[in-house]
Amino acid sequence: MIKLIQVNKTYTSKNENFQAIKEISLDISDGEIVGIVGYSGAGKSTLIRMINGLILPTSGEIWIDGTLLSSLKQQDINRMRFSMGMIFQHFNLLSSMTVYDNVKLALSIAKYPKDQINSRISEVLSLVGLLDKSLRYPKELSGGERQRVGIARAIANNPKYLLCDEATSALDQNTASEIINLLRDIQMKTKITIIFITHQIEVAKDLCSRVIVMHQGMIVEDQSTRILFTKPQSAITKSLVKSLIYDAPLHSKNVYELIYDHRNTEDTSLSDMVKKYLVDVNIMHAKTLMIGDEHIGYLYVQITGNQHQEALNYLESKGIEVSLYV
Amino acid sequence: MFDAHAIELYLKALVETLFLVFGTGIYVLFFGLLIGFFLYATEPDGIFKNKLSTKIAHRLLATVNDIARSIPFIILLILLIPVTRILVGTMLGAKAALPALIISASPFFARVVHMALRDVSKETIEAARAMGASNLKIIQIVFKEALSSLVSGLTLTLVTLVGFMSAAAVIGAGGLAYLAYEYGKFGNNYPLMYLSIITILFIVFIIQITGDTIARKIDHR
Repeated sequence: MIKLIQVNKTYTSKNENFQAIKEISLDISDGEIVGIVGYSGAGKSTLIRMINGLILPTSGEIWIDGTLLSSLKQQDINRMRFSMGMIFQHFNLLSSMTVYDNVKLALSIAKYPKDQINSRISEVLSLVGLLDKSLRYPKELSGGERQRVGIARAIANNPKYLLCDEATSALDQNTASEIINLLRDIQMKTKITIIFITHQIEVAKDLCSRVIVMHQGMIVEDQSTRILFTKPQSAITKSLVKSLIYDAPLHSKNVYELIYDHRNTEDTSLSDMVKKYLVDVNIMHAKTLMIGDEHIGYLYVQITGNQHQEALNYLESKGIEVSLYV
Repeated sequence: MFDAHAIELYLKALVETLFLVFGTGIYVLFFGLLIGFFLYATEPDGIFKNKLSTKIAHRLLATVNDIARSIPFIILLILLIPVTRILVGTMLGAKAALPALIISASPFFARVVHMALRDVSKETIEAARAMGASNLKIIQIVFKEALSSLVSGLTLTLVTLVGFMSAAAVIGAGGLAYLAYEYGKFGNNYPLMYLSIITILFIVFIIQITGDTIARKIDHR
């Protein structure tokens, strides 16, 4: 269990002070997959580095499994890190070591029993599908393979937490979703708690059951992924979600965004509405997203007619999220 | 041309040269690594959290190092004559060049070491920290990642050392360069001069090729 209480972080330099994290309080339970999403500069990287003590907060408390991080000596922080794997945007493997030795380094730092190191390396390398490349050097591998090594290295010591810092941002879309699937797979097998930082909301959508949206060092939204996509509250979340659904601007008037969730995708509400209130409907754009194992439908329609307000109320009564598209 | 005397002179000079290059090389390696690492470790905004006192130590060491590095070798050689007399006891022969060579080449190599260490990606070091590596382990990792650059840097330094030794020949330090200088200057044995020069070139090539080969072999960046 990770608990942050009113955490602040201010970077001080000669010319100015920059507050990267403002009053963040946060609970992450064991076994969760939490995405932390925001545009660059939102404070995500700082936040994740405060969890494993790479960056110290200016004020506030960080509790890891009931231990206050700031009460630990450096040696104890190092020991705590044995139970926290971390993967990075640029993989950060040691270029002078083979795949095998990279994983071995993590195990020997974590004081893994010497007689079991060899078998554990084989185990994690086959889990990430790289057993046949264990004697290669990182530069001989593709980006996706390097990240797999990063993952193998991070989970080698059976950590309780896995911190992912933009782990898929340097990869192409296909490779990124392979990595996401691998992480989901590992999570299912090991019940590891995953904290996943990303600026790509689609990645968070595919992996996480809970998403925290950050903006200018603050948490603006903290929701289950489904609620976040069906009932986004803040402007930042809306713009992040919108970028995924439809990024072309709609200039027409009376355009409404209708969000269907799993309960009403099979309904005929829209045609019922047309018949009942005699409104004109013009479909501008439609998209379906897969969130977890649910389909969420996004429909952009122009609705005109004398009874259009009543028509909209009718849709809302059917459980569809309706909002004027601006 | 190459009588027994000349051959004897040549062999003696060759041994002296090799002694100077590798004898100095060992000291330079030691002092260079030490100073270079200290410069790296005490760097402001470096990989370790540093107090004000270490930052001052860094500035001080960097300044002394740069001063020693920027004095032209031949001037340093003359400056050091009294020190050499005390340390080595003589101003003639191969040994006499040692202090000046070491004092001149160590700061050079120290800077090379400093740069090689600084080239190790901060992100890689962060990854090691995230694994829970101790400072000692971090240092090991930094050196391992920098090894190829260190070998290239040492190669560069050794080649520079050969050049320095030619300057040392002027004050009578021994070696092949001295032989070439003495016998070439008065024109009494040109073949011996050419042989000495070719041998020096040959030594430089051997050092360069060996260094490059090793560096390439361990470089996986």
